[in-house]
Amino acid sequence: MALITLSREFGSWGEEIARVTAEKLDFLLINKKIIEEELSPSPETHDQMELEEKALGKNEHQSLLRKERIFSLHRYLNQLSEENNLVILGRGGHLLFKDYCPALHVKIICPLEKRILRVMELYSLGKKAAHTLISEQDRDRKKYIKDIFNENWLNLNLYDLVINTDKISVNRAAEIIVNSFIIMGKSNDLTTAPQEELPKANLVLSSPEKSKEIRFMHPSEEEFAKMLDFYRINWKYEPRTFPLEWDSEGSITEAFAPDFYLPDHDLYVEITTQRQKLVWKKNKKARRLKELYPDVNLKIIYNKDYKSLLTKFGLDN
Amino acid sequence: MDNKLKVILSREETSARVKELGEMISNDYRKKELVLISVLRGSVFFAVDLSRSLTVPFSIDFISISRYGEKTDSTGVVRITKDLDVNIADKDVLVVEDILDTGLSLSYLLRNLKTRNPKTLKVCTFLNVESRRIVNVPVDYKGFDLPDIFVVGYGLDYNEKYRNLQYVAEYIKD
Repeated sequence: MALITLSREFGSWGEEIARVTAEKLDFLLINKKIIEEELSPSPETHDQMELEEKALGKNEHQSLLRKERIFSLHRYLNQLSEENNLVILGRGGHLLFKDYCPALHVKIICPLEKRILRVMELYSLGKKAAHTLISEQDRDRKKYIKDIFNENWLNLNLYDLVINTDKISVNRAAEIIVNSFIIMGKSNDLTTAPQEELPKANLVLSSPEKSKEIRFMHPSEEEFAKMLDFYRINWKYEPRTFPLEWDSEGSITEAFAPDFYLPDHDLYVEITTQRQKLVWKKNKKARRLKELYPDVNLKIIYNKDYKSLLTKFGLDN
Repeated sequence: MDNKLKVILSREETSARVKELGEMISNDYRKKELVLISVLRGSVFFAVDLSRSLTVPFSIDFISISRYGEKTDSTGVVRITKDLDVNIADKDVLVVEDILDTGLSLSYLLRNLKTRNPKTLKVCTFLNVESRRIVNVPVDYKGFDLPDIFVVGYGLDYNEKYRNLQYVAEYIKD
């Protein structure tokens, strides 16, 4: 699938631009919070990851931690990118996917004085406090890129496109990114669809439907898809991502993409083979989904349900 | 009794409920052309008992479809392995199932039968396991609701065993 990475200076409207870009292209937006929630199975390990991240560079395990973090981050984003078109905000996405194709790596910048004014307004801060916050945030990002990837965050040669938001709006910046991405796709002959069919706001590069043509995230999903195929029940694999939480800048911080959609039954199905005591996160997402999208029908197939299915069809041995 | 079995529904409970269902269906199908379609193989026992308690005219036929996981079909699609002998066009069809759980196979069967233009198409299941449902299918008559347990007897089997039990029992695996 396709992806766009966005790196940004604090206060440059990077989050907003990422969100609008994702909306315009119907891509899935991935940010720090989503990544860390997916990579940490509980709040405790989430906190531990935060601590480890801050500790990088301060202890003898620096190299090992860096490698582990890059490996797990890359594996997770790679899995996501196999089934989704992505807009990745921060997290060194431009370095993780440096050689990925098709990809567009964007940096959002803005003069410091302008960013101070924006942060003062957004967070109701004085000039000095806004300046301090910007310095801290930019320093943390610079450190993250240095510690995790051993790269210089300020090196503009790492990007395909640099946008200065000093004199342009969020929407205009997003338009520039979208158009750049489409032009890049055309020039590189990147898509499987005929070039003239490239839509302006929906760049889905392929839409395989059958279980044999799709790379599933888990064997249970593949088995379930085969069952549906067998009984001639139409299905789509992860066709829609439901935003569940947003931060103060309107960026999506939590989302839920159920595994299957059965259009003839207007039903989403999520399969989880985690042990019952570990499904709290999924249940929480399901409850939130029901709150925000009361008309959406969701069925969760838990591990015990899945085992019952296997027993029913004599596949449990 | 086999020590792996725990009785859930006694012969008396089963018999009484089947008679009640027979009365309900007889009331609903007066002056109609009722065709009972028993889904092989599990529902035969229930369909026969149910038909004996009907007080309205009816005809009965049998249908069988392949099941996911069967060795010959595990990579293909569902197919009818024994089709109806009667024409159900403009008839009032009642599909008789032994147990309804996921709804996957019944969903296919109903879609198939609808293409034959029955006047009405309804479902009667002896056992209903709502908690296992994946796709919604209509349930017009049901004998008993069950939790998510594995049961045998009264037509339901485990590796072709226990169908002939006159009660329904939970099969407890080792």
